[in-house]
Amino acid sequence: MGHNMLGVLPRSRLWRDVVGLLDTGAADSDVVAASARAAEKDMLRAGDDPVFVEAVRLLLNIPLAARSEDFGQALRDIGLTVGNRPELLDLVASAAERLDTVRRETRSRSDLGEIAARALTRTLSSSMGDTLPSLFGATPDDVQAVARRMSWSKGISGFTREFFGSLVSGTLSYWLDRTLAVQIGEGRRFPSATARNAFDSELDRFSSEATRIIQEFSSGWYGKTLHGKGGFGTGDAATFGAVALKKTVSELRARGAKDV
Amino acid sequence: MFEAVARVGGRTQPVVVRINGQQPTFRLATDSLEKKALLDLHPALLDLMEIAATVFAADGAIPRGGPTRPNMGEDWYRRFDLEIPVRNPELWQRTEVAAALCEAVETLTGDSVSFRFMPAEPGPLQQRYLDFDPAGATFRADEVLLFSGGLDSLAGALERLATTSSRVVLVTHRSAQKVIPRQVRLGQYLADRFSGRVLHVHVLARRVEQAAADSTQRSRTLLFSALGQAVAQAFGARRIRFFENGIVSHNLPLSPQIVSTMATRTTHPLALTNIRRLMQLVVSDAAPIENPFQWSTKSEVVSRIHEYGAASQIPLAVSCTSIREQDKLYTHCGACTQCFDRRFAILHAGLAEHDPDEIYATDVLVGERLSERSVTMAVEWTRHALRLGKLDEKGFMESFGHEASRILRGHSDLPPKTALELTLKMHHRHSRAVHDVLENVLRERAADLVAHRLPETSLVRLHLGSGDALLQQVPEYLRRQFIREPNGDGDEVDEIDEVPQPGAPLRVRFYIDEGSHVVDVIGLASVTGRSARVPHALKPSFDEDRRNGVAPEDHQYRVGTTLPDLTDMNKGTIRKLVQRCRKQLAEEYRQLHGEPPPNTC
Repeated sequence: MGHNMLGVLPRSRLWRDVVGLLDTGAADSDVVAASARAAEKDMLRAGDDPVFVEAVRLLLNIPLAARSEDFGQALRDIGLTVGNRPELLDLVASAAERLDTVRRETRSRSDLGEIAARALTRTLSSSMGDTLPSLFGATPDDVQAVARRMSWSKGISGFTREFFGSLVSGTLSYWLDRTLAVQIGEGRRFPSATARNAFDSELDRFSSEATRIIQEFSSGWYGKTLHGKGGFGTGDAATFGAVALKKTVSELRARGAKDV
Repeated sequence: MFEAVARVGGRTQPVVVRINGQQPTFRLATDSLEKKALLDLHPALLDLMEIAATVFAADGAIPRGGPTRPNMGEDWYRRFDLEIPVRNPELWQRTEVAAALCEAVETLTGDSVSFRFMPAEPGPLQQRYLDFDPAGATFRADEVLLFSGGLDSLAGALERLATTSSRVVLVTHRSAQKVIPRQVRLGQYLADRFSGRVLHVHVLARRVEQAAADSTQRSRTLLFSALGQAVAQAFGARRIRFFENGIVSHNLPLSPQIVSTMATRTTHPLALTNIRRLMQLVVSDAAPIENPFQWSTKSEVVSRIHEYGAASQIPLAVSCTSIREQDKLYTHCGACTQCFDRRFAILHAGLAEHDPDEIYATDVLVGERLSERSVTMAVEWTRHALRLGKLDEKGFMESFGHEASRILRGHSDLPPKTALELTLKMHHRHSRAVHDVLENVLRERAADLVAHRLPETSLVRLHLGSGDALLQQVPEYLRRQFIREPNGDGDEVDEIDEVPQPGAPLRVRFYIDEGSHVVDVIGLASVTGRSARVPHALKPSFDEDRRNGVAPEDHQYRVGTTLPDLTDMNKGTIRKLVQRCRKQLAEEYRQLHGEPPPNTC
């Protein structure tokens, strides 16, 4: 029997403000900004979540592994279960499996860990998949070549930005989707369910723009750490993840204050 | 007497589980069986039943936090440390067995569990969980079917009985008084129709004198698999079958708000694979557990009932689990995903005459939805189903990559590509079925929609609109995508690492993106928005001085308010923006290099 639970928005002042904005027809961007403000504390908690930290560690290490002549072994060295010549599907599935393993081993579970896991699989599928002919048509060599491209300065900045953008949009949707459906109907915010498409697009755009802030920092930190330490351990990932989150949240706050 | 203890993270009082016997906290038993067992139950199987019952009892004893999911669902994910007496501690303490057990429970529940096993007190080996009659007749079964009395298990039982000569034991959980009479009647229908080939076993598994604090019973599958295995052994059956359509079995999240086990994994491929592996580890001749409908949609499953001549039994099969809302008239709430799955499948299969509107408290398509939850379910379930039809492999992995990974692991017997293709094709067929039903409504009820004769919160009006805003076709729902900036350099990437050195000159990039000013300090920071406007405004003068070879200390002094791009700002604002820009860059420098910048910018 497939059962599904739905969440309910908290009755805090910040979330009541969001509902108020939805009810009064405020601009999509204002609603998204207000929800970012309401979700701020929860987003910052991600820095303490081992699944989030592991997702960041994989995010940094998968492209780096592609610089190795033996891509499969390099991926296995960072904890992924793959064969010698992994395809993109193998890569995405093994990254997701690894996060499940960390969740089990650390006995640490939270909704943020799940959202981070989704953000990682989405980023791998999307960032890498977009430059491949198709998910199934790409050869293992194609996959390694694309992953390798992500490992250089320009690649890693876009790659990490996409992950944090997906994390932000996933987190905001996690909250907002609890209430958006009741905004559908004549005389309401969305005349029909299709009108929500535009809102979702605005949310994705907002999330993407808010993560511009980490783009340059990501490439500088990546290069500096790689050349200083030779790779990225869990501690490095925790540091980078926490700083990137802090920057992103601070940017969300600035955007919420219409400071752009 | 069996007594287990479950210690729960964050709670001082453990949950004590006593199954049957004196002062029981949990009752586990079958109705009296008029048949005798062919074989005594394997001790490991008895252990497994007791372990699974302990997990089930603990699962129901601890609430999962409120619907607002405070602290990002912290209370949803419970932590159990279970101490359980067993007949063979060496077996259960084996690393691979303990790991398989944990994985089986954690996949189903989303909780974290650990087990400690100790020797059970000497006593009678057999517990009377299965109430056989030693003087009864023999029933030799070929397979055990876990029979909930819903449409899928009815279709499955029909298929096995109509297309094979198998003798089957139907194992049914007596979960709720309201549903039991229907389960009994369906079992009787099958027994009458396939005379001598059906034995119906009812199992009671319930907390004693305490309502469940968590009624979702996510660990139920483990308990019923264990019971199924015991029944299989007792009657010589070689297979155990769950019947659940693949769409519900996968139970993909309908919306980003649904995470982890908020969507149940009752018959998820990974859950069944884990349980199968566990059973193989603890009982050498364990009957394999299968879900023959794993690649079928609900509509395809329901069609089988008609195909096997049992459409008249559809009204008896209950799909809805909102038991509290059921009464004699309404057996389905019409507001949960099970009701949506059922109704759309039946309409698509052309079997509406066997599923009267009147059984739904809320008509699934055209009924008024009075609660926010009902509206949200109707919107999200339909959006999700329609969106699936537009996804290719990559889109599916982007949208459901994490869940897809679990599905693929549940089909480890198939190459991942094959499993993904089968998955996607099935979800496409499901999407098409939902699309077709809505298209049919659009054709048949357009006049009602135009005239606003259907309730505003009805599923069809929420999706198709009404009056002048009536859509002319079934809506499309877009896949969520990260909005990536176009890469002007094509696919070429310089193979360099940006390795910023402390004190090295900064390199900057000025540009405007979608109307917003941006200054990138390469490998350090991006300054955006108003803070970036001041450096943008100063840049022409700076460039001019550089072109003319002017030393930095002799660069032009410009009054901010006189700069063409800053005329809307006063002196104080400009000063603040400059300070903010400096502060940001200094902070980012410190974060990167672990030391303050040598000079302020």
